[in-house]
Parts: sequence; C-alpha cells; structure tokens
Amino acid sequence: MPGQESKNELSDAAWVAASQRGDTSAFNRLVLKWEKPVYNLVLRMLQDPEDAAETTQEVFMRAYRAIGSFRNDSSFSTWLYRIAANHCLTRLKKRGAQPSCSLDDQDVRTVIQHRMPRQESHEHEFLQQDAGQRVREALALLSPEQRLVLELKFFQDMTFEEIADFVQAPLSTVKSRLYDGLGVLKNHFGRQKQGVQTKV
Amino acid sequence: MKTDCHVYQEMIPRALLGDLEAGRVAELEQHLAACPGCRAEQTQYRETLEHLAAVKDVPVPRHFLVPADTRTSSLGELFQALARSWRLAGALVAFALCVSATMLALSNFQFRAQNGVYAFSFGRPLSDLDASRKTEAAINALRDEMQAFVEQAIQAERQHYVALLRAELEKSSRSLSTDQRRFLELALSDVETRINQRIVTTGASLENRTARSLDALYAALQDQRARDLAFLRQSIAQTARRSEANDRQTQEVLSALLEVADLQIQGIMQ
Repeated sequence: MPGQESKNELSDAAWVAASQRGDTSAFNRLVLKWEKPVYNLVLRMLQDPEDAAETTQEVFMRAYRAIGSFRNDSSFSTWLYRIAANHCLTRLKKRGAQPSCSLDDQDVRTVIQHRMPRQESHEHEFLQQDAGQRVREALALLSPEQRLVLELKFFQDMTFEEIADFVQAPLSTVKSRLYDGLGVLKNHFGRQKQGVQTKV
Repeated sequence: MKTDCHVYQEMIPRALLGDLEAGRVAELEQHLAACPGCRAEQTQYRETLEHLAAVKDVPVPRHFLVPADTRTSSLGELFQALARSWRLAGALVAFALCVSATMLALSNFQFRAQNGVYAFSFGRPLSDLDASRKTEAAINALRDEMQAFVEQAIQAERQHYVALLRAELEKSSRSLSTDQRRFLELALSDVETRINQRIVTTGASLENRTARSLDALYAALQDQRARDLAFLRQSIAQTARRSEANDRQTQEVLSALLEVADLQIQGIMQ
C-alpha cells in the first residue's frame, strides 16, 4: 500500500541516518524490521534454510558496512533487496550453473525427481507439503535470473519497470524471463497435479 | 511455424498479469470461448498464480543482528562494493603494473642512487660511479697543481734571476762609474719590468697550453738561466777587465745585453 510504504520510508530514514552516524542499535532496528522479508527472499532463491540463514546474516553485515554509501535515491528496502539479490546470485553461481527449463523441456520430471527428496508417494507428498515449500521446490527448476524476476514480481510486488531497473536489464528481457519461468512452473504444477490425480 | 493456439497460449499469462493490450485481450477471450485446450492452459496458469499467491513468509530461524564493532570492512568487501567500471579500471591498473614490473625484471633494470647522483640502466651494467668521479677529480687536481707549480716556478725563477743579476752587477759595478752604475740600475729595472709584463701576458696564454711538458719547460728555464748568468758574468767580466771603459762601448754592450735578455725571455715564453 502506497501510504504504508511512505510511512515505512519515514521511519527507515531516521534509523538509516542514525546508522550512518555509527549507531549500531539503530541499524539493528532496521534488521529486526526487514529480516523476515529478506530471509524469505533469500530462502526462495537458495532453497536451503541453512544457506539462507548464513547468506541473510552476510547481507545485513554488508549493508551495515555500506550504510554510509546509501544515498536515498531508492527506498532502504529496495537497496537492501538489491544487496540480498546480488549475494544470492553470487552464491548460486558458485554452486554451479543451474539448468534453466524451457516450456518445451520434456525431461522436467526427470530433473524434479533428481532434485526432490525421495517420497513414498506423490499423493502424500503433495498433500503434506505447504504451498511455500511446493513453490520453493518448483523455483529450483528455474535459472537464477528467472528466479529473481519471479521473486521480485510476485513476492516483492514490483512492476516490470521497477524490476528492469533493479536487475539492470531491458524490459523485454525481464518479461521474457518472467513468462518463461512462469511457463516452467505451470508445467511443473500441472504434472504434479496429474501425478496425484493418476494415483488417486 | 506457430499455430494459432500456440500464439494464444503465449498471450494467456500476459493477459492474467495485465500485460496485454485491450484489443488483444478481447481477441484472446474470443478464442478461449471456442478452444477447450487453451481454456485448460488458462486454468493451469491461474492455478500457478494461486500457488504463488498462497506462499506465506516463514518465520526467521534466528535474528540477524550485527555486532557493534562490524563497521571496518575488508579490502575484498570494499572491492565488491565498487561499481563494475571501477573494478574493471582497478583490475586493468593492477594488470598494467604487473606487466611493467615483469618487463623491468626481465630487462635487467638497474637503478642506483649514490651521493646525490641517480642513474638507471636497462641491460647494460652501470659504470662505477666512484672510479669515474675519482679520475675526473684527480685530473682537475693535477691540472690545478701543474698550473700553480708553473706559476710558482716562474715567480721563483724570476726573483732568483733578478737577484742573481743584481748580485752580479753589484759585484761588477764597483769598478764602474756612478753614471754607469746608474745606467745599469735603470737597465736592470727595465729588464725586471719587461720580465714581469711578459710573465703576466704569457701567464694567461700558459693556461691554455696544458699539453706542454712541465719537465721540459722547467729544464729549459733552468738551462736558460744558467746560460744567461754565464753570459752576463762573462760580459761583465769583460767589461770590468777593460781598464779604460768606453762609454759608448759599455752602453752598446748593455743595450745588447738587454736585447738578448729580452729575446731569450721571449724564447722561453713561446
């Protein structure tokens, strides 16, 4: 909500200013406010909770060290998410290239079976997993770039233009990544649903 | 070639996200009304969006507070914080410095700073600074010594020469008349003056003749002095032996003596 955002920015501005003067407790106020959305962003990007916790801590440490360079040309949250996104992309690159699945990929099921933990039955697995876990596992099928665009669009409520500015890519590239990623998710959920229906 | 359904299926997620022009939306809806396959595709996209919307943030496993003494950043983090262009520029500068250092090392670069003199060389070994400076200083010192010696020698010889002349004339002048004695005194003074003038004039040109052998010069001076003294002694003895000295003859002799002395001095100095 726009009104809520500007209220957020006002309170953030005061804490940011204090942090820039060296007030660690003011920065920790910002940490307490933004650690949940940042942690969840990182978790959806990296999928592993331990990795996500370690990376989130690195993000806030890095933000604290660089708080002096924050110039209010964007909101504090956007600046923080940018640090988090860069950390995640770096971490994912170090892990190794993730296969990006296209809409026509016929081996998506093979990839999913390779990555997902063993389950006794698809039906049990499908019913017991919460939506967040299902989505996180589906996001693992996407390339880091596709994953980031979907995260910013569906979980950070950014517009296409804001996303293009955030990732420093053309608008057409951003849309292409989003729709391709959405297509992969659509196919994945569709096959999962088919598997459940078949078992039933 | 894409089929119509394939084209419309690509439009479905755009329409669902409000990223399709109104005219195209109407066209899509018209197609969906007649195509079950594309309607099923639309349903799958809707369910996918519902899955995404149903995701809720999980609680954090712990707090991520930063300790108070975290402000100092490592060089690596500082480097990471720089913009890409600055990182590229820094990397290029570092690469250029490494290449320069490697080339200097391979080209046997030598640098020396000694006694305020800075010298460097690529490949060729640097010459011994001290040896060349010593040689140059030694040459200058020798030149100065030679010059001083020559001046001293000339001055000493002149004084000795004049003293001897005076002594000889003093001895011989006892038999001379007062006028003759006075004439000899004037002649001697004139000779002395001419000698001094000639030495001063020649001393300036002597500085330009550094190649002449000092030994030969000194020997020549010695020899000439001996001959002059012998000649003078002989002449004065002859004059003194003549009991009836003819004034004109005496004057002629004295004039001749003066000319000889003059010429010989010219010969010495040349």
